Amino acid sequence: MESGFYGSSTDGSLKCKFEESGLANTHDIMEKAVRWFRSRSIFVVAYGTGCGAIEMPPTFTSRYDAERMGVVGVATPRQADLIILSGYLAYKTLRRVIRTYEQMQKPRYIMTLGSCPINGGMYWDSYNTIKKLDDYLPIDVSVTGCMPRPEAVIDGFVLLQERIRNGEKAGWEKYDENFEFYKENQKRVLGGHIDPSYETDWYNLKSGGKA
Amino acid sequence: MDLASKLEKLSLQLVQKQDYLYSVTVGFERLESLLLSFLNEFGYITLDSINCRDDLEDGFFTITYCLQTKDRDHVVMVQTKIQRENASLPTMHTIWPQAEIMEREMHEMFGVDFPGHPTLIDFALEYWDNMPPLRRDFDTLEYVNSMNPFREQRGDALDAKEEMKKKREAKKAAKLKAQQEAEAKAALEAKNNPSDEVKNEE
Amino acid sequence: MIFQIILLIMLAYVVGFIYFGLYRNITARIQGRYGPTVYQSFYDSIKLFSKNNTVSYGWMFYLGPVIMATGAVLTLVLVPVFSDSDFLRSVTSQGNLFVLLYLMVLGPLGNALAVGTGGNPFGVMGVVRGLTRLIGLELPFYIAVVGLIIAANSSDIVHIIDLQKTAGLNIINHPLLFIGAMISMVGFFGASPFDIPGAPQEVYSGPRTEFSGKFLALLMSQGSLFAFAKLVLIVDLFLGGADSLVMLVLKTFTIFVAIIFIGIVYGRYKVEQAVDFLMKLPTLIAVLGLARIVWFG
Repeated sequence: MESGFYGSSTDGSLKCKFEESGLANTHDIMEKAVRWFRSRSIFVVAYGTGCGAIEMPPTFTSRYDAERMGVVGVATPRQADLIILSGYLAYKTLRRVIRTYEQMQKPRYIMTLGSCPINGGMYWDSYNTIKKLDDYLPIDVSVTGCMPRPEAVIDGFVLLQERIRNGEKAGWEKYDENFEFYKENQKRVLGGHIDPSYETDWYNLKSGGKA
Repeated sequence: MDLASKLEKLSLQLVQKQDYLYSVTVGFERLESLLLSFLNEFGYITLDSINCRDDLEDGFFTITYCLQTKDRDHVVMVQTKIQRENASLPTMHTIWPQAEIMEREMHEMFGVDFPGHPTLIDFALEYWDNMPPLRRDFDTLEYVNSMNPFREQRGDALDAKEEMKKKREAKKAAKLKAQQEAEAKAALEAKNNPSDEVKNEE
Repeated sequence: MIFQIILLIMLAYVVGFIYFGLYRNITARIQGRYGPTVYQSFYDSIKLFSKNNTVSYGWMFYLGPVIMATGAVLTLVLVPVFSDSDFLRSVTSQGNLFVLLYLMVLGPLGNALAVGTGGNPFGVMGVVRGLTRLIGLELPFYIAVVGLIIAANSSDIVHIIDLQKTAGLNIINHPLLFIGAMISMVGFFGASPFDIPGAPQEVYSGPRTEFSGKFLALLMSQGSLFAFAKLVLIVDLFLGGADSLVMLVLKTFTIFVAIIFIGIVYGRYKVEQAVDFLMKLPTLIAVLGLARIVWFG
């Protein structure tokens, strides 16, 4: 499956139109251009779990300045292209992360820091922490280290930019293709309660917490 | 100490653990009245924490209330023991409001019930339907392995012990070689300059 | 005429985005960073236009950015860009200052309608803050504009520009009005002392929280168009307009850099603090300027 520059990869109608009018080459050029623009402008929502959240401020501020490569932090998942998960994920966090990831607009990417999302890291025997994040969400770039320094994080950005530029198959396409696989795994570990309940009335907990 | 004599009147003994830490052990039935008198008569206005220890072999939980006066110069631990099965404690949130969240956590982690507590809902865990995870009869490892299996290895991992042994031997050999070389060099130098000793004497 | 309008919009799009790129770059340099390239906002815009959009809250949500863009484009079209040449000027012969002042409020209103439909609490908070701040922002600016209208005895911008060629620049003749208008212009640009509506530490992105992809790109584009239109308006009113493209860029860029430098050194006012400040000092300065015109000519 090819990623279309208009976002949706499932709908190839625009490419068909280009091919009918003998402009398939133009389509390729436009897609290359758009991929380049995408690689030059990455909006990041930094989901600070675990210890890696402390590496975000130096990465984005004066010392290492990720903005010079077009990597900017944004405040909401609606505007973001990339979510950075910076450490271990408890089940409770995983619910929020899945919701955040699914709120992001395609194309969307995931970057993880440290060994915890890869194999559990030092929390491998915790009763409340997942071990392999790629069972539940597709990871595009894993930056190793415990914790990775900002240089390594920036190296991860560069790798992601190269992948976007080369048009390699991204995680969100895998997520769309293997949606059942990911949902099954999520259900297995989260017990069917995939979304966090929004019915808790936090202001009136004394009435039992139910709105 | 003043408190010790007051407690002696209640036939309780104050034990000094460290220079700022005291403890008093009390039966479960007198716990609530003792905590009340600690607040009202002895002036221990702050509840630091409520702790729970799981004594699985003896079949009870040891509950510790850490109390402080307004001077904050020492801590008194009020300890009591309760049954592990269907454990239940009187709620203290009417006396110390901060006890509400401590008791909520204890309910979640040890399964201790607090009759009359207003918010015994999820604290840190969500939708937890297993045994409370900090009880010692909860097999964490088995639970973890059933929920989160290990990642399959690539197969190119090396045995750490053997590798370290090899490394150490290589290091030792290199060190020995360097030593021998140094000795040979010294011997050679001594042969070339036999007048060294004479010079030193001068 | 249509060709000229399209050309004007393209010019404003390019110049506006390069200005915003410069804004980010200069901000970065002041903060001791290398900073993004000048074209960074342009890259962001293209990328956002090529993104998917699956968020929907009904037709009003879609219409909001369009209303904002309409306000921006109309403002742009009705501001005379070049004073002497007929090029890009015939468009503006019908518009005057009152229409412009009305159109400048159209954007925030469209924004409020759309964000209200979205129902995001942070968006609603941002909009409420923005509209509250607007009360304070408009006051000194409107007083300054009224002063200029009385001085020129006309509400036609072209006439005001022509008058400055004979009677001298308004920035020299009426400096108090210029100061009042500039302070509120800092707020219109969302620069730092008055950037409470989109404060990322408090209300995430404020009004833009729920917008994504193409709508965010549209909002960014209209923002840069609108910024260019406002810069040209200030240049027309106080700096005597511009004869050529070089003069236009020079004059607008001077104003823009001034706004950046004011914005970068100040912290953020709360809403009530911002309105309080704007209703006191800049309003007082503008009123003094107005009184000077009314009583001393």
